[in-house]
Amino acid sequence: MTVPFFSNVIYSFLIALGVIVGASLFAGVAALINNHPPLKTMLDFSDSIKIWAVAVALGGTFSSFQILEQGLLKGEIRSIGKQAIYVLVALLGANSGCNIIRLIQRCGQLWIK
Amino acid sequence: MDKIKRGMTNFFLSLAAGVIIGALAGAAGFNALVSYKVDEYHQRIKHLEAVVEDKEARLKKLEESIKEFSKSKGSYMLTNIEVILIYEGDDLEKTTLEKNIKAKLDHLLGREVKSIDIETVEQVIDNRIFKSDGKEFKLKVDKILLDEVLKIWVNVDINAK
Repeated sequence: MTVPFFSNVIYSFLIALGVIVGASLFAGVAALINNHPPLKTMLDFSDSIKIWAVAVALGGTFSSFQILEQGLLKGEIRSIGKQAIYVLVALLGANSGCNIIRLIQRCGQLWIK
Repeated sequence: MDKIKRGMTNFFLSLAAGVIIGALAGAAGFNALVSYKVDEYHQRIKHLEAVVEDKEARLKKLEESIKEFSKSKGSYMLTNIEVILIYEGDDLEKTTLEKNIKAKLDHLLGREVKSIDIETVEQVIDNRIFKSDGKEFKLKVDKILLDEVLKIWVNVDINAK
């Protein structure tokens, strides 16, 4: 199945965002079961799995490296550019996920006040 | 018959999937709601643990110095008050009652054991009524043991009027 460039960008962004938000929320549940502070655990996890979220969004780094290699050796600058954009968008999605988790903290502060 | 069976299986599968997804989503959502408060409680517990540790260390040193002082003087000082409640209530009520009784006897701490009048101690607690959470607790002193530690056994009647 060939997916157009713009659709791929949306996929990358949302997958990275979902990985961070989902993983952090369930890490929070695990922290609650283990009697650890849930919000701190969620924030720590969201930061530490950022790079993995990018890797997951790109469908594993292997195919990306393959495309980069082809681009460098065969001079396909466009595919390199596309991959760079996917990586950037995935990073953006991962960062947005982290910010959503930080938003929980902000909302909590407002709620307590 | 086969159609009905297939329909039932589909229904139960959908129900199970709905319950599982609902439980997971609910747990994650509720956790996100309460996580800030739980974090605050964790922080407060850690802070209080540190405070208790610090106070315990100071108390230990003070107790040692009081013991040395009373040894040199040849007299005993009251170092602690223990309240033993003869009461089948819940722990929270017990703690509140203990705290209230100790508050009435706190002024005796650090005093010479010889100078403490045991009848006055009894009168302070005996037949006293404490009110807490809409309940009345009538206290009756059972026995008192006075040493470096004052031990007092108290009977508690709930809703006594």
